[in-house]
Amino acid sequence: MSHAWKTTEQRLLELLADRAVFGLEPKAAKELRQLLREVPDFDTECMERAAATVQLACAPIEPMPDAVRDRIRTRGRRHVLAPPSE
Amino acid sequence: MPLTVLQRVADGDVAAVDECLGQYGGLVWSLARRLCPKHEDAEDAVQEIFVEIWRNAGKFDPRIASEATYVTMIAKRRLIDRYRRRSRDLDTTPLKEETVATDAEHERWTEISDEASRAREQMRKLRPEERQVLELSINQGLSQSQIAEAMNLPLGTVKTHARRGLIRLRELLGADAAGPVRGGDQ
Repeated sequence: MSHAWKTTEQRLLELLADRAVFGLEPKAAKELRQLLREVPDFDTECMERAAATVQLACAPIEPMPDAVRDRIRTRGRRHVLAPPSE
Repeated sequence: MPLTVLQRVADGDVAAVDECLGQYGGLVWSLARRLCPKHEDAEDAVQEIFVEIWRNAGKFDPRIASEATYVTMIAKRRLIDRYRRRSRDLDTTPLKEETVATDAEHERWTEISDEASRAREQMRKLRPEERQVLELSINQGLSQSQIAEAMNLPLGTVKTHARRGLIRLRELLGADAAGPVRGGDQ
């Protein structure tokens, strides 16, 4: 299917939306990489943020169990005090 | 302007770790429980997500997104990766007619209730079929074909609803209409 009638930005938004919702097939991922080379400053996370909003809107909240919180806290403190080198 | 919790984590403030867990622990745990039916899987996922949050705390930019959105975005990436790795072994999640949480269910979510309320308000502005496709895919982790079957729609229509819904949501959220703000991972 040809997308020639669409602007590059429209097509980028479609591909980024697809990626954020269902993930991309290799062919679409390649197209996305090619388009992003044409528009390198494009906000590639705009659709991920929109998808995050869907989760924020829909997630009923339950408290994190104390045991889980304690384990993560310990790990977090270690990370903050001595962040692993990238 | 005072630093946000994530900015303080990035600056090495140990107390900010506790605050971050207090503020977003329930959110991340709830998101994990939604996509990880087993408690131990959810626990692993949450640990993974918070390590990723600490690691990327310095990349958070409050001008681009709220902290809750940023945390949710990182959580979603991790959870979807994990879910898709295991999805071939899972049964189809039962379809719910309406999955937007009620206000009562959100009473405990006081830390980020404003953000969640705004998100729910914007979601309600989408067309019902767009909203339902987004909820089933993003919140319940259903694949395009599973949604097509559940909603009795062609595959292409499911994708169209998802695209239109998400693009519309981005507009509603007042995201940069022109798009080209910045590239790369935040």
